[in-house]
Amino acid sequence: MDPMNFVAPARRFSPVSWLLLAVGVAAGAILADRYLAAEETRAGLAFEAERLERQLRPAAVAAGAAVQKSAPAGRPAQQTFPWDDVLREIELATDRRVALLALDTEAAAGRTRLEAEARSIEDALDFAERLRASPLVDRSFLLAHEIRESPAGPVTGFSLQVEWNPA
Amino acid sequence: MLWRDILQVFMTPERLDYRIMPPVGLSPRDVGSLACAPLRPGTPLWQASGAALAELIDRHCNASPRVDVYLSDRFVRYRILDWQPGIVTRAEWRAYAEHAFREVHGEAARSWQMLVDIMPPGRPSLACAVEADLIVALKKIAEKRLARLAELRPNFVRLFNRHNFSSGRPAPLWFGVAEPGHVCLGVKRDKSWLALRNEPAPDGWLAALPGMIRRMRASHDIPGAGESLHLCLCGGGASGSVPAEVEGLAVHAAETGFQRRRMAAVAASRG
Repeated sequence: MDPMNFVAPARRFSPVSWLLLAVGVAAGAILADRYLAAEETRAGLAFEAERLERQLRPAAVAAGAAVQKSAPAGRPAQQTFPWDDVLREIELATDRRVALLALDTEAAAGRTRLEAEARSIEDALDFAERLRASPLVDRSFLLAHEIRESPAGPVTGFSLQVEWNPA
Repeated sequence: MLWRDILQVFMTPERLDYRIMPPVGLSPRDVGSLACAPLRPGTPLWQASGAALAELIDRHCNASPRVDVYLSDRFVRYRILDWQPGIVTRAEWRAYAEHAFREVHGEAARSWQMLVDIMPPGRPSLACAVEADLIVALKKIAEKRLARLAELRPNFVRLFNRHNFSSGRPAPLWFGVAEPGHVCLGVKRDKSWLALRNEPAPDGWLAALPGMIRRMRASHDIPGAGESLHLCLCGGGASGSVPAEVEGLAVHAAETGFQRRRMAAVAASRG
């Protein structure tokens, strides 16, 4: 049966209502904060992935150019040199501390010269060490290095020669 | 204000029964009864009880309470409205109720405020009316004291809802509220009110009940014995033992809330 209340029922906010509202607002704020943090992480990872992709693209292009220069199409060296494996090894050894600038491969001689930048000489040596650990690499050694100024601060530019193990 | 005391008042023309509930907890902070000033001729029936309510808020309540007023049925008029197929909207129902009250009470009904408990098609609806001046006066009293008048309900309706009867029962259900010098008696069957009488009982409710039951049975063809009457006794003057049977109806005393708490409070104060 209808309560038959002659005064218009006003909006009632009991203490429990206020408590629930406060809990809801707090939960919403926490969720929003976590969402923003996750979004920030995602954006950082996307940026990093893009940067790595950009680093590898010139290396691949340079490798292609080197093939054309050292062994024109149809020559036996181009057919036998394991380009895919070599590029994969270089990619696996490269991390965020190293930026590849140029790659020059003499397929006939089975060696590659890398021009790169690292944050420090230790990072450059680590990179050479990682390459050396690969079964495809016969030798890997530093040809030269120098400290350069860049907009982000001083970086170590270095040249690395890798001699591939054809077996 | 977030934490208000709740002042619950049963208002009759002669006295106010009240209890003050704290915002948290089930035990009343104060329970009592306040006599109203004697009615002066020519003044509205509610005038003295309105003044008593103002005094009650001023003297007994902290800050600005929430006020729930349960009106004695002496302030209320009831009509059962038969279902009419052409009446659909709320405005049409209001006009129908106004017409029904004017038929019985004349032009005085123009100044009443009405509510209708609209039932599904085919079933009668209960309408009740209260003087609009009474509602305005109580609102003003509350506003002036920064109190919030949250409820203003007829006592019969409040008590019927309080007991939460299974309304779908096929046997007639009799429900009555007795006050000193007044009885409101209704009978309901299959979720529909069959009849409702709200009458003065100058010789007391016990003397008035048998005649009311006989008249309601006769005018609405309600079967005789075998049913029960749930009876609430309200107000100090209505106290007394409830008979086991009236006109073939087994009588059950139903509590009113105020009565039980007042008795508990009195018992506690006596130690």
